Amino acid sequence: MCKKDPETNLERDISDSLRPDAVVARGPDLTEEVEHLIRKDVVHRRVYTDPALFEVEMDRIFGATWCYIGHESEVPEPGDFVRKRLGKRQIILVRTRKGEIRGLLNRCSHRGTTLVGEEEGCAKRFTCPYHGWAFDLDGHLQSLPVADSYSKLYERPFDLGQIKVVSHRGFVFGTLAADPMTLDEWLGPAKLWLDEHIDRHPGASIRVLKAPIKQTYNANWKMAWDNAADGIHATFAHRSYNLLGKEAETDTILSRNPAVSPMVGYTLGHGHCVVDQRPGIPDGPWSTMRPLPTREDLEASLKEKGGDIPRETWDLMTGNMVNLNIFPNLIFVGNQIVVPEPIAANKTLMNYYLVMADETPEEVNLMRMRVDEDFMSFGIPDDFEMFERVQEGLETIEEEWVDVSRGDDAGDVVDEYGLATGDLASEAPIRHYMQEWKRIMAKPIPTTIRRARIEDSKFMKAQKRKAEAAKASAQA
Amino acid sequence: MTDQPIGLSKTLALYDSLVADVAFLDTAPVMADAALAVEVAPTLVGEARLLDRRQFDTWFELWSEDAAFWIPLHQDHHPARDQGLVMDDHRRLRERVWRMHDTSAWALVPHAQIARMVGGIEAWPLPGSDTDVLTASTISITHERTGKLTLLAGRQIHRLRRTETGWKIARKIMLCPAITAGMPHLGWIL
Repeated sequence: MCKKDPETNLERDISDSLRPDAVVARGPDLTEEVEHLIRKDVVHRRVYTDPALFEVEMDRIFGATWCYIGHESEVPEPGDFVRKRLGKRQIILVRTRKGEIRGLLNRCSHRGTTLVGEEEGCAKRFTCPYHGWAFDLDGHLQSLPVADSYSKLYERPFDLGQIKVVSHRGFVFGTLAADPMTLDEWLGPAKLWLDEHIDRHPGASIRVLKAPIKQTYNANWKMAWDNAADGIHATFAHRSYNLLGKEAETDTILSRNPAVSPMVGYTLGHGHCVVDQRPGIPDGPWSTMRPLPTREDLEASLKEKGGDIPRETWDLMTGNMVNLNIFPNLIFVGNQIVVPEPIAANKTLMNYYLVMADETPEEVNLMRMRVDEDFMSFGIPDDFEMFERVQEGLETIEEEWVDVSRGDDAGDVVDEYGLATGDLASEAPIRHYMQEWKRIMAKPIPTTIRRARIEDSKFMKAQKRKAEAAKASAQA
Repeated sequence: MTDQPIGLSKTLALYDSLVADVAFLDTAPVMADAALAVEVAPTLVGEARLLDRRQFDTWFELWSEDAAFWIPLHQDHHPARDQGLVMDDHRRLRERVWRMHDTSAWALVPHAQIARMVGGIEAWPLPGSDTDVLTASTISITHERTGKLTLLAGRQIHRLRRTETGWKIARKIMLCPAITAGMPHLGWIL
């Protein structure tokens, strides 16, 4: 039984999804509901607390929308793989024999077993430990035991499922959308800011360390998003970090008065935004850091190598103080790539990846690690505390609305494309991504699993030849 | 190695020797120096008690000036190649103590109740040193704050130094599997 969905005009019957090239749009039409939940400058608590909405997010935002998957430098050689997630799905980000990047579903096409358990590794093929099915690095089914016991091998989609992946200068984005907009269109003006992030490194050469710092908080993933471009929390939530800076006669990046700071935020379309803090720190990023472990030794070492150390070298040790947020899961802070991973409506796993600069003196990267660890201990715990307190506060069901109106008609400048420029105190970035959330969440989005076509599989060709030979010999 | 600037060599040597302290556990004899283990036990147990009772200034006095406190994300990591959860020197340790007293460290107030259980203490003389010994012990930490529990367990490696005024802590390494998996922040860990 096939039935057309009146909204998407797609067939949504269960039998349809048995086709290897099935396109399926799942879940309810939420147009009216999201209109109710997301207003111009208030957001309903359920956007953060409702498990049913969370499940829809796992399909439409972390599935049918472009999401950051990983960085090509994590899989430099053929066979290298890292295990990632897109929503709840496990993805094997792998470099094939031909050097291409693929995003394979970590799910055996037979009975569903995950193929790899390691976070990273190097493989010649992926072999399922349950029944011995083996897949090539590009997802083709390579071999399976007792193949003669299958009568329908030609009809079933046995090659490994894949997501669509597209890279921008090493940053790999993936989606299951059947007909996604181009990655260029999705990134829009954010692409220029991403390029700037890459280009500040000598030779534009960066390397992402494979092992992130993983920490959980008991609150919704969007708390991290609300926080990422929130300039005013820096003064209050991070009071301790700023006081510690003062102890060491350092004005931290977060200690600026948000009422008068020349730091500026821009919304960039599709929920993306950037906060440029550079106008507020004329002495450069390194001037905002307290003396950190090994600093004196590494400073002496650099001087011994090359005399005066240029400011750019110092600044490379810390971030560029341009916080770029690419919706829904790629946040640049300092030298970190922060990837929020939603676990439940009220639980999030944050992955803090560290970016290394390849073409720099060794001292720079050694210092980067110690800089990176600093805010993990002295700043982020206070952020998490706020996220969890907000989540707890939102359990009051009678107080339905969260205010995000700051800056609206009070300082924000909105251009002809609807993009806003605001000061540090503006909540325009929150209003901006919430509108994108509303757009994506409103209707079922057609998705499809990419798969090497079954006829192309080496194994299947061999099977076909075998069958033809058997047929010929029977006729003879 | 020899043509490296001294500051870089010194930093890398520290990191290499931290990794060597972890690797030492693989070849250290099961029959550790029993008398030495008994001798260092009060320092390890006392450290835990001072931390549980929030006597951070007294605890800080236990540390030598060349202090190194390392919590890697994974037991096979190296501080010169991998970010850690903690890689502190004496100065940053002092800052952690400062933060423990800071009333605007929102993640730490109200204060936690913490109980550390130290067990399985082993000790070996450090090859090539007259003063330093290496100890390994297991630790289990129960942390309660605002009605929520955080549990952490692992093995800690201390490098203790014999001085005229008693044992000093020169190094502490904590290997805790839950950190690899991902867990609530450990902004309170010492």
